[in-house]
Amino acid sequence: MSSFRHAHAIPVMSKASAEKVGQIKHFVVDATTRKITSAQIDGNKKHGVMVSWDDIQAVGDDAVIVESDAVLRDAANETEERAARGELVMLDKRVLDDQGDELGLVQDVVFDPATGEIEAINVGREIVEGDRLLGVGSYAVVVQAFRAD
Amino acid sequence: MARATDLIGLPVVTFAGEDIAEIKDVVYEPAQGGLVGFTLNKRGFFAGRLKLVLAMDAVHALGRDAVMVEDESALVDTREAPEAMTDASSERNVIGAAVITDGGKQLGTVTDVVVSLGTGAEAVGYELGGSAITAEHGRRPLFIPLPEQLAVSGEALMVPAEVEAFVRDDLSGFGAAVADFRARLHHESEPR
Repeated sequence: MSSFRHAHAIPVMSKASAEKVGQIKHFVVDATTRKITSAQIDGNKKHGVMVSWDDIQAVGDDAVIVESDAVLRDAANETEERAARGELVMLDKRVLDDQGDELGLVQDVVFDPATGEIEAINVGREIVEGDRLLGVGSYAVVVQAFRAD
Repeated sequence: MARATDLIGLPVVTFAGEDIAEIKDVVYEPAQGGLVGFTLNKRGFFAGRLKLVLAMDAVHALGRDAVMVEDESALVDTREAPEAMTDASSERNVIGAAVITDGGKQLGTVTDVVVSLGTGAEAVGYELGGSAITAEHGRRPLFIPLPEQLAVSGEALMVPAEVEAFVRDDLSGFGAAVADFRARLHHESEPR
């Protein structure tokens, strides 16, 4: 188990050179698959600002491991470009349910470091299971309303 | 439960988390007792009237903090919208109308429309002000459930006298009054 809050600013290390190639800034999430698709990297303008989830070999407590700095790239699609501009950051964003009620602000996002799957969104007074995620936009994170059935 | 005017200014938000418009006004059709939809403003600093409208059947849910739609296709050009959306004569002329029971008693004048929230949101009642009844209640507004059918003119709404038994003075307990009122109307219309 890992979380966005915990992973924020941890170093991204190259397995080939044992050098730090940058640090984690944000994760880009695909709401349809409820998985992390890429990570935005700070501190390596030369090689680019994005790394695909598939190029991340390990997410540990103290570092994220990639093969080399060659996997760093520029934003490759509209979602990544918007993410690079900071529009799709989940942390501290308002959470709306599909009934139009605000649940609070995103305190943290818990994910499986092996698969990148979003397991839960901590909204403070409520933990929203990952499979209730509907969308991550510039205005809000949208989740299915809780149904007691 | 909310007042229709509470919806004004709420963002219209897609499942993808984008705020694509905000509620400018609520279009209500008093003769059918229904919410028809919403006229819209743009969001942001350069907010102005949006030429698109949101029909009620394209709304996923009305909430306290947002009006939820599945995606941008919920907003349609005025020309493609239901006729009642653009018919100015039906727009909000219920506000200010006197509410009179078929027993001949005036309950007050309509100050707002009460709507239920969530998916399948609808108009469920009226907020009344300015009458002898509200004066008895310390001039606080009263809420009456909306009959399914009623006669309406530019000046008055005619409601069944039974409505009087379901007048409430706070919005939080009003949902139960609406349910009781509707159950009673249905019961009375059944053959004995």
